[in-house]
Amino acid sequence: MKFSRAFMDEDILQDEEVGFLLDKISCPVEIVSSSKMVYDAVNHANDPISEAKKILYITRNKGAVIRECPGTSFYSCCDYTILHTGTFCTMDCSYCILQAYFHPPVLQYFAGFQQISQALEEVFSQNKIFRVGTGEYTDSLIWEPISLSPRFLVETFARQSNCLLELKTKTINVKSLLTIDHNEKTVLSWSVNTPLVIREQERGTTTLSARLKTAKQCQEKGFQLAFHFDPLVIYPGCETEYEKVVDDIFAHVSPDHIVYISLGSFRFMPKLKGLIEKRFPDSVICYGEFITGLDNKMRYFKPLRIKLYQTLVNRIRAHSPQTLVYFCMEDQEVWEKCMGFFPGKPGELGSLLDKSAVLHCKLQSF
Amino acid sequence: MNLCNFPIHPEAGPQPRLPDIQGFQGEIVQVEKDCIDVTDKKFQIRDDLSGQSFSLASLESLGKSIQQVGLIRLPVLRLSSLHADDFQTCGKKYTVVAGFRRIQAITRILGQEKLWCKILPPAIEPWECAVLAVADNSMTSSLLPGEMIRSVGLLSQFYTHEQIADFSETLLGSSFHTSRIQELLAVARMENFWPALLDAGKITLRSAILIASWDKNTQRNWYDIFSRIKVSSSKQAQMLTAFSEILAREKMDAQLFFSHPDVTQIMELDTQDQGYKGEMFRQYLMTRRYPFLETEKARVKAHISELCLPKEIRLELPEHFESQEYGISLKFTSHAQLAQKTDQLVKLISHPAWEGILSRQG
Repeated sequence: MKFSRAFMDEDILQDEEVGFLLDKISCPVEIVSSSKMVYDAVNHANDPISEAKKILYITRNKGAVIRECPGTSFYSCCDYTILHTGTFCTMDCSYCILQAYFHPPVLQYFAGFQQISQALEEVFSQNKIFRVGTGEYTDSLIWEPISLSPRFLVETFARQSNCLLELKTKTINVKSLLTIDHNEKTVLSWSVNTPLVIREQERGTTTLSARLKTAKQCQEKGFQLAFHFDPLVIYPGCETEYEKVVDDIFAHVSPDHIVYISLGSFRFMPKLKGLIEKRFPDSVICYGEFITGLDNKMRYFKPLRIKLYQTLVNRIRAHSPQTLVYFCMEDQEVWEKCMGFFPGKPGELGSLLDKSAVLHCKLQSF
Repeated sequence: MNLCNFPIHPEAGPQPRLPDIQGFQGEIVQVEKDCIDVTDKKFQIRDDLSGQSFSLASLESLGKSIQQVGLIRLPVLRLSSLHADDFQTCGKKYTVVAGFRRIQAITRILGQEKLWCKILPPAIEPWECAVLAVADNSMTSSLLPGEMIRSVGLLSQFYTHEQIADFSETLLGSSFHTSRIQELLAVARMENFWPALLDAGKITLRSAILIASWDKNTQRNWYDIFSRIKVSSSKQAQMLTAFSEILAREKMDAQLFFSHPDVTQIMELDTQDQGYKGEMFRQYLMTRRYPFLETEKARVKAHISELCLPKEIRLELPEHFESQEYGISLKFTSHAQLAQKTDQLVKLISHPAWEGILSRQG
C-alpha cells in the first residue's frame, strides 16, 4: 500500500500500534492540528475520490465505535453490527457506494486499540449474540499489511464467547492472521464476483482465484468462512458465470466451514450513477434495467433479480443444502420465490444467522 | 448560428468590464434603406430563421404598432467604414447593431425607403457593439433560449467565460456560472439551426446542451428528429438519456442506431401529429432501453383493458412492479353513484383478466 501523503493528528499517541503503522508507510507523516488540511488536500484534487485513495489520515474515531447496520423497513435486514475502525478504501470498484457516501471520502485509520477494547467489552458482556464486522465503511483487510489492527481484533474476539468477528475483504492480506489462536471466533469473508465483473469493475482488487485460494488457506488454519455475492451484476450470460463461481467456491473450501453466503444484486443511490459515468467511462454497470426501489435506491427490475437469485440458490443448494444462504436487502416476494420462505418478523433473519454463527464459531447459545 | 465573423476566443477578453451603454450618444439621422447592410448579421441576437420571431405575421404586427404609435426605440447602426473592403464590395454603408426586426418591419411592411436610426460614433469598438446588441434584446424582454445562445456566442468573441459569468445577471438577465457559459457555448458551436429549434420551443436548453456533447453526425440526427416530433421537456431528457444508454448497453454506433428500420419507420410515419410521433419514438426508446420492464407493462396493460373499467374506477399498479401492493381508486359524486360503481367493481372481481394482471414474473 503506497501513499502519496500521510497525515496524523497531533494528539495521537505514538504507541506500539501507531509506531508499527508509521514504520510501514513509506512517505513522511505530516502532523496536523485539525482535519482541515487533510480535507483540503483531497478536495483540491481534480479527482478527489482517486486522490483520497492515496492519502492516509491517522486519526481518532470521534463518533460511535459500534453501530447498528443501517437497514430500511422495506427490505429484510440482517441485524449486523458495525465496528467502525476506519473509512474508505485503497481499491477502486466502480460500484462502490463509499465514493458517494463520504463528502469528501477520506482514507482514515482510527488509531486507539483501547477505545475499541472498551466499546467491545460492553458488547462482550451482554447475553446476546452479535455478528460484528469492520467491512462496512472500509475493506477489513486492506489495513493488514500496515497495521496491527486485524491481528488485534482477532485476538480480542478469541477471548470471548458471544460475538463473531467478520473480516470482509477483496484482498488476500491474511498473512499475519494465519498464525494466531483465533478460537474460531473470526470469520474471514470474501466478496466474490465473476471474473468479468472483477476485471472490469473492481480496479486494484485480487482475482477470484486468488481470493478462493486464500480462503482455502484460512480454512486450513481453522478459520470459519463466509462469501458475499454482492453486488450481483446482470449481463448476458451472467447466470452461467455466477454458477461457475459457486462451483469454484465449493471446489476450494468445505461447506462445513461456510457460516453463510449472502446474495445481493447491484443497487445504488441515484447520485452514484454520475460518479460512475465520470470515473469509469467504459463501465456500463449502471445501464442495467434499473428501477427506483422502495428505499429510493436503484435496483434491477424484480423479475430479473429473482431469476438470477434462483439460479444461484439452486446451485449453492446442489453443492450444500445445509449452507445458510440469505439475501441482503430483499423483500418477501423475492425470499418466497427463491428460498420458499420469508423471515419477515423483526429479528428473524438475524436470528437465523446467529444460529449459524453459534454452530460454526462455537458461541454461547442464549 | 452565424459566428463566423469573429472567431470564438474563450481566452480572448481584453475588456475587463462592461462598457457604459448609456454613454453611447450616437447621432440620430434618417438613413436610406439601401445604405443598410441587413445581410451582415454578426450582431443579430434574435433569429429570423425560426419561422417564429421574424415570421411575416410578426413583422406585420410590429409594422402596425410602429404605424400607430411610432418608432419608440430606434435601430442602432454603425458605419461600415471599419470594414472598407466589405463596403466597396456590397456598396452598403451601415452595419446593423440592433433593430433587425424593426428595419424589416419599416422597410418591408410599411414600405418606407428611409428610416430614422441611431448612428454610433465611428470610433466604437466591436466589443462595445456586441454588448449593445445583447443589451438591446435582453433589456426589453427575457431572452429566449436561442437568443441566449447567440448572445453568449457573440460575447465570447470579446470576453472570457469568467467575465461573461460575472456580468451575466446584469447583461443576460440570469446569473450563470462559468461552467454554464461553457455549456451554452458548446450549443453555440453546433450547426446554425439549433437556436431556431430552441426558440420554436421544440427542444429545451438542457436537451441542447446534452446533444452538444455528442459528435456532429449525432447532433444532425437529433436535429432531424426534434424537427419532426414534439415532446415535453421531461420526456426529452428521458429520451436522450435512454438513447445514450442504449448505445452503451448495446455497444452500438450512433449512426447504426439512427439507421435502424424501426427508427426510420417511426420518423417516416405519415402523420402531421408531431406529438403522436414523439410519443411513438419515446416508447420505442424506452422499450429498447428497458425491454423486460416495458414488456411487462404492456402485458399487464393489455389485461387491464380487458376489464373495460369505467373511467371513474382507476386501477393503480405497484410502481415498476417492485412492491406487491395494488390499489383501486373510485370517484363518485353521490351516494347513488358510489353504490353503482361499487356494484360494478364487485361484478368485475370475478373477471378472468385479474389473473393476468396480478400474476407476477419470476
